[in-house]
This record gives sequence, C-alpha cells and structure tokens, in this order.
Amino acid sequence: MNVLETRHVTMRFGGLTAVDDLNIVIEEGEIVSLIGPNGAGKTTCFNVITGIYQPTEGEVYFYGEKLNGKRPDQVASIGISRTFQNIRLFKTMSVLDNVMCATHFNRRSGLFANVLHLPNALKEEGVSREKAMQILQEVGLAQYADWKATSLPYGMQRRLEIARALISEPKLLLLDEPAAGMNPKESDELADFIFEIKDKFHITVFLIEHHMKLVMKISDRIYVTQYGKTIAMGTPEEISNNPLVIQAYLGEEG
Amino acid sequence: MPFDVLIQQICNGLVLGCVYALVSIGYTITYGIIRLINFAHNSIFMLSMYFAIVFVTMLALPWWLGFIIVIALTAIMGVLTEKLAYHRLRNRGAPTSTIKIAALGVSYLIDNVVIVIFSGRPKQFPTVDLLTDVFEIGPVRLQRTAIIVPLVVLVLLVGLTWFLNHTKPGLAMRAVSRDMEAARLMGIDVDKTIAFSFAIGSGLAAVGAILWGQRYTSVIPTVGSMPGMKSFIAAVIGGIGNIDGAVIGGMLIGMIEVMVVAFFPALSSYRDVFSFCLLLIVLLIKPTGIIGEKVADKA
Repeated sequence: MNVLETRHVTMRFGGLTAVDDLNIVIEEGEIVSLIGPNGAGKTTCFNVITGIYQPTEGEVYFYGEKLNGKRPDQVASIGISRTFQNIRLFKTMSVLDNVMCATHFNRRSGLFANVLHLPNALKEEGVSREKAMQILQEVGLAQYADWKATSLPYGMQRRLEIARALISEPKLLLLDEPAAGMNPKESDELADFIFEIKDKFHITVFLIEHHMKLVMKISDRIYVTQYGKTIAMGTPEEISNNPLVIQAYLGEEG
Repeated sequence: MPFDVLIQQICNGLVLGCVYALVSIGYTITYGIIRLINFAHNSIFMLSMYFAIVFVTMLALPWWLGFIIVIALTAIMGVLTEKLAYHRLRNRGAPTSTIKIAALGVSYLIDNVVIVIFSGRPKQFPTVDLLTDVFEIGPVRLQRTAIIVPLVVLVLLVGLTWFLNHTKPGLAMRAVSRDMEAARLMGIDVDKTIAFSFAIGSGLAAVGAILWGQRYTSVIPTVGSMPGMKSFIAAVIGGIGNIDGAVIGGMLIGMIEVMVVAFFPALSSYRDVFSFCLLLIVLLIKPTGIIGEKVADKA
C-alpha cells in the first residue's frame, strides 16, 4: 500500500518554481530520503505535504486519501507528523507539556465540551499525561520530563521533537534534516534511533537530509532533487553511482 | 492619615487593582497568542455593562442569572469580533499592524452602535446590595466588595492558571502562543484555540465590568476607555503576553492610583497622570515589563 504519493506536484511562488513536477511514491514501512542541494525545494515539498502550502498543480495522496485542501491540523490528525529543520519546540514549556499538547484526544469532543465536561477532560488529561510519559520513556527522555524544553542539550531537543511528533500515533513521520548540527557520533545514534522508532511505532519515515552517511545508512530508497526537479531515484548504491547525482553534488568536473 | 482611612484606602486600591487585573488579562492573552493589541477590548468591557443594564435592570432578571448571561454574552461578543474581523484578516495574510487598525475600527463600531441604541446619557448600573453593603470591623467601615472582589479574582486566577496548565485547551493555548505554525502541524486547531482565548479574555472583562459597576455606577458609552487604558498599561507594565505580569501590573496601577490620591489629595485631579508616568518609567528601565520576556514580534 502506498503511504504517500505525490502526483505531478508543482509549487510556484510568483515566478519561482520551488517544486517542479514532483512524483514520489512511498510504501508502508519504508525509510525514504529526499536529498538535494540547498534551495532544491525539499522543505517546500514537506510544507506541501503537511498542508502549509497548497500545491499550484498536482495532488498529494495519503493512503489513497487526497490531501489537497486540508488544513495542517487536519493533515496532522489523519496521521502525518513532522519535525523541523530548525528545532521548533514550544520554548519555556516543559518537556512533558511539549509532548502532551500534540495528543489528539479532542478529535471527539470540541473545545467547549472539553471544558464543560470537566470529569471527562480530567480523565483525558490523565490519559494523555500517561501516554506522553510512556513516549518519553521510550525515547529516553523520561527523567527530563519537568525540564524546560530549551534547557535540554541539542541532540535531546531533536529527540524531543521526534517524541512530540510520535505521540499523535502517526503513520508517516516526516523528518526535516534531523541530523543538522550533529557530530558524527550523534548522527550515528540518530540513525539507530530512527530504526528503533520505525519498528517500535510501525511508522513509515520520509526524511530530508544533507548528511550523506546517515542517508546512505538508513534509506531504503532515495530521491534526488535539484532546482525543484527530481533528477534521480533509487537505492543508496544506485544513487551513489549515478553520474547525474555526482554531477549535481560535485559539479561538472566531478 | 488615620489608621481606619488607611485600611479603607488599601482596600480601595486592592479592589481597583483586581478589576484592572481581570481586564488586563484579556489584553495580554490576545497579545500572547496572536500578537494583537486588541484596542476593542475596552469596548467589550463597556458593552458588558450595557448588557447588565438590559438583563438585570430592564428585564429584571435575578442579578446572579443576569450576570451569568452577561458574562456568557460578552464572551460570545469577543469571539464574534475575532471571527468576523481579525480571523478573516489573518487568513488573508494581513500584517499585524492592519489587524490592530481593524481592532480600532471594531472598537469605534461597538461604541457607536451602543450610542445609537442607548444614547449617550448616563445610565445607572444595577448594583447588588449583597456586594455593596457596608460592614464594620472596629473603627473601619468597608464595603463588602473589599472582600468579595479580591476573592472572586483570586478564584478566577487560580482557575485560569489551572486551566492553562492542566487541560488540553489550556495546553493548546500555550502551544499556539509559542509557535502557531508548529502547533498547527502538531494537530492543534489553531483557529478554535484563538477563538477560545478571546472568549476567556472577554468573559473576564465582563466580570471586571460587573465588579467595576458596583463601585462606579454611572454608565456611559465611553465608560470603558479609562479602565481599558489603565488595564492595557497594567499589561504592558507587567510584561505583555504574561498573565502573572498582567495581574501584578493591574494591582500596581490600582494601588498607586488610590494611594496617590489618598496621600496627596491636592493632586487628585492628576490621578490618571501617575499611571501613565509609571508606564513610562517602567518601560525606560525594563522595556519588556516587570516579568516580561523578549518575544519576537511575529508578523
């Protein structure tokens, strides 16, 4: 079953075509990477998938359901979570609160219902607290639950962001440069961590990454874009031997 | 100053400060969430006083029922201003300055509709004997509001703090105020959360207006402008965007206003000047307010 499919997705901003005829298919349980030089339209692609932008042309499907026209919170609640290139935790809120606010119990009851039915709201609050603690436990952050999010070291902030994305029980996790700013040891740990959560939470992972070692290590397949166009797709071995890709990354002489 | 008068004045300051605190929370919440200085908040305050006149005086409902309706209706009016004006502008990508101007427009609109309906002549606010009766402790004569108002405000503040820290909508409000886009991507219904924060701010303003009306019973269509302005100042002094700050600012302004007049009766006509001076002094010393933090003015 295709988890995600983009059909001829094009995103233009005025005269600039950030994403040009993007066709991506991701199957259940895969780890797929999207790589390309800066400005290749990778983050724009994520923003289209998550509903921040509506594509100028083309359609996005998630398990066969069309995502066009859906708001970001609706996309999130049907099972697509993401993290950000520059970490975007809710600063000054505690580690636990950061994770808790992404639980989606309020799909059933409205905001007012939530407040008026106090016993229910309390129960929900208890359940989501428990669930948040459980997730923190699994990503190894439980002992920092009461810390301010921004007081965590960098690598752990990345982890927390992923934990926050996981609590809504997504089927697809989008990671926007998760290894950015990490040293080799940290990015090795990250690779193991991604494998681990993929199995534990039965998710499909789609990531944007510059860190080639990480990409080659964890990806089942890789898409390569340049100037908004997809120039190659294949397994890590195919991609690392593809002359077009080598040229895009190393220039003509390479 | 005789001891009994001093106690009375402290209580007066406390009551006034409590009202400012309630109203300033509305300013601080909308700023915290959508970086909007809601210039229409004082009109919402005024509107709730007229609602009280309609439901309690004109329709002669029992005061408690009338006031509950007033609070609910004011909360709905707050949500309507958001839905009909600010929300639409935001959705079209209007910059915050445009939305601030729209808030000014909403304020004038409400004021003028009230003038058309109720005329500009002063009306009497429906006071409640239960709240305004005078009691004596030794030589000190106090209005019951001196006890009841701080109690009401305390209960509301504790409730609000609990709500923000321990319920999903409260958590959502804090998340949205931190990073609206990230919150949206975490599945939080941002528009609903914003509407809800307007409901809370306006509802608290209505409570403030009802308490204010027990002391200052003359109601005219501009009745909200001074308490509104003072409450806004209170929010800024405390650190706008921060609820604790709004409460501290409100108390400070209320207390100073009363004490200046109490100790320097000759200056009583300058009472409002002191609030504004305090604002300037605080801003010069600490531009982010007493417990404010630097927040990016997100467009």
